[in-house]
Amino acid sequence: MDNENLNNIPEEEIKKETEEAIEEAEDTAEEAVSQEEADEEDSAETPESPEESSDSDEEEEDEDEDEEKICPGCKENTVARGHEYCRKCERKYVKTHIGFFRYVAGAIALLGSLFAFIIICISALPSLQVFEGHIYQAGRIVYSSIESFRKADEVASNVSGALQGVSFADRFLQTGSSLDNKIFKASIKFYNPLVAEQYKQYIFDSPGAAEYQKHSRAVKNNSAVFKKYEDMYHKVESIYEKIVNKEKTTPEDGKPALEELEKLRGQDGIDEQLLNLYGYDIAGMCEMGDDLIYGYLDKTYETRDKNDTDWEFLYIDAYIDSLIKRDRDDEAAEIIEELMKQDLSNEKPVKQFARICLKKNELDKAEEEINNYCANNLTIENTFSDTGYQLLIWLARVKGDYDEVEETVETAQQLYELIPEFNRQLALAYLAQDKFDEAFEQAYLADEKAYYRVSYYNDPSAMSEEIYATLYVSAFLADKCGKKDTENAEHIKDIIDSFKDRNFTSDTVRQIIEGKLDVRDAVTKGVCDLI
Amino acid sequence: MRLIYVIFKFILFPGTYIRGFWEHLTCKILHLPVESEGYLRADEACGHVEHALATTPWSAWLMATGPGFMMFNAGMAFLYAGVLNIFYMGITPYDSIGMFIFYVILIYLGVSFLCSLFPLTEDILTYWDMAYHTKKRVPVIFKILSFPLALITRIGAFCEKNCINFLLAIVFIVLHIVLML
Repeated sequence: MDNENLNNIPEEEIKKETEEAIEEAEDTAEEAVSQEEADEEDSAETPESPEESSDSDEEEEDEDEDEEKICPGCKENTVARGHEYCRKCERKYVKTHIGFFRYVAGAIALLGSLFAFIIICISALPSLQVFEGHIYQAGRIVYSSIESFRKADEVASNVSGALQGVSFADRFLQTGSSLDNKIFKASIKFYNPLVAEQYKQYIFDSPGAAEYQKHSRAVKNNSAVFKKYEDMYHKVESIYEKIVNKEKTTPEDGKPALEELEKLRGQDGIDEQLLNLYGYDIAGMCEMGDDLIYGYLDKTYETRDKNDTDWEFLYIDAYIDSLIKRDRDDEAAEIIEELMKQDLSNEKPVKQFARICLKKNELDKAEEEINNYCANNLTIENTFSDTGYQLLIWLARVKGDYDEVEETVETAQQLYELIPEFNRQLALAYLAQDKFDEAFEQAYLADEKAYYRVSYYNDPSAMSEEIYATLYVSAFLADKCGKKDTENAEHIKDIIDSFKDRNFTSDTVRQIIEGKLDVRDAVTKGVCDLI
Repeated sequence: MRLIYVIFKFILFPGTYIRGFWEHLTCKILHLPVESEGYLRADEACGHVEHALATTPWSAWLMATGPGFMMFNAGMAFLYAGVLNIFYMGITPYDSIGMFIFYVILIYLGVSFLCSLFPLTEDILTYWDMAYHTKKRVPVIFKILSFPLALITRIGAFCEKNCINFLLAIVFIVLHIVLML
């Protein structure tokens, strides 16, 4: 452009006029802004009426719609109403391809999830079995939880057998050491730490179990308890074994042994509770009188809190029995209640509670407690200790309902063949009816079953003092009052001879043999330790 | 919060990537324009694709819940295949290192898939507005039936945006480890 003029106006004048116009425009704009701010303040102070506001909203919307929206994709073209991109971008974006690799990734994810689903199907049944175990554990039915955990392995084998054609199935049907650990922990609770330690090698049978045991906290802790017990036994071994190895012991044998035992009290590494327990054992074996025997038991119970390890599992049953015999039923009931809360599958406290009820002639309460127990445990298949049926048989027997006893025993035996307690209870029922020969037969069967389990299943818990006692009493009474012409007559004599030198801890046995107690009273009243 | 969101999304990248893929595929099926198709990105759209909002209630519903449905099924399958074998069948590294690692990977995949379950809040809000706020023609029965899932998806999308679901995932994993011990 020419520097001289524009429309014949000198350039300097044009510049001046332009600057003035800009200044004026800026002023106007500033005024407008300040006016807007003032309006906003006013509107904030005095809210608009709804009608006014809706009117203004509509106006704004109309303005928005009228405004042309720029495409966010290309930032050039305008966007048609109801669309987010311009026609060109939209066409381009709709046509975008998913890369081949992405399809492959998606297909892998899909196939992978299908494979995972197959794994779930394969391992579902054994896992459900374990889940059932967890449910029992949460409900404090410990024995049933052990059974469920054990069966998981069996179920896995069954599924594996059913899927023989599927070669990879076996790899996903293995149970591991962590499941063994669950069984081990539950066994410590249901049986006791010493029994669990003894059967550790049978419980941990998974491929990596040997290595796993080195790292399991439960195994380490239990081994420490076992070691403590063993160490303590080694310290009293010489004193204890002298009594145990004698064929027949007298109170005179017990005195020096107890004196030696007392000398150890307070020494380093001596567990006071276990020392009292050994004292109780020695006093019991040497028949040193109830005061001394129960005295040691009381001391054992009193020292329960002073130890790191409470050996409750070793003495609590004997202690409760002693309380019942000493007519301290309320104290016994208190301990029993606590035990029943800890494990709903433990039949011992239920039976002890029922005995208290029997003693007090409150069989209704016993029946209620037994029915509660059965509700939790009767439906569970407990291979070797179906305690629910045992309690039902016991209840029918003490109520004198012998037909019910026979029926329940028959039902129970159809389900469980190897439980000696059914036969023992039936023997007691026959004793109460003066059917001594039948009683002997059942007691003998109980003894045989127990022996079979000890020999073939390595289960020493099957053989109990009560089985021996029942067999001896049955044999003694069958010999004395039974039929002499039966095939069993010779056999009965052999059995009596085999028990000749045996020391029975049962008072009831002694009293029946000595003729001080009627067998019918013995098996129907609460004080008897045969029942 | 955005940083935590992105970090977790990258840690759990398999789920993030596959979620992006399912969203992308859904957009293709519904002919929705996809502007940005990167699945692993360092922003709020990590694990999602930037796309135009759906215009019909059906496509909005599918966009909001379809990819999540696929992720849920796959995630549950992976997670439970691992959980059943480690926590129920009791497989430990001492039994078989290979199988144990395999199951741990399955659990990781399951968690990563389940942590990418929910859509962007915009997607579910689009359906929500169409179904419950505007007068779009959505059958009443569908409105009622879809409400629980729509609500869960809306809450889930909010949680995911604010990283709450990652915290839940961590709590879940820690709980299982404690249970296993």
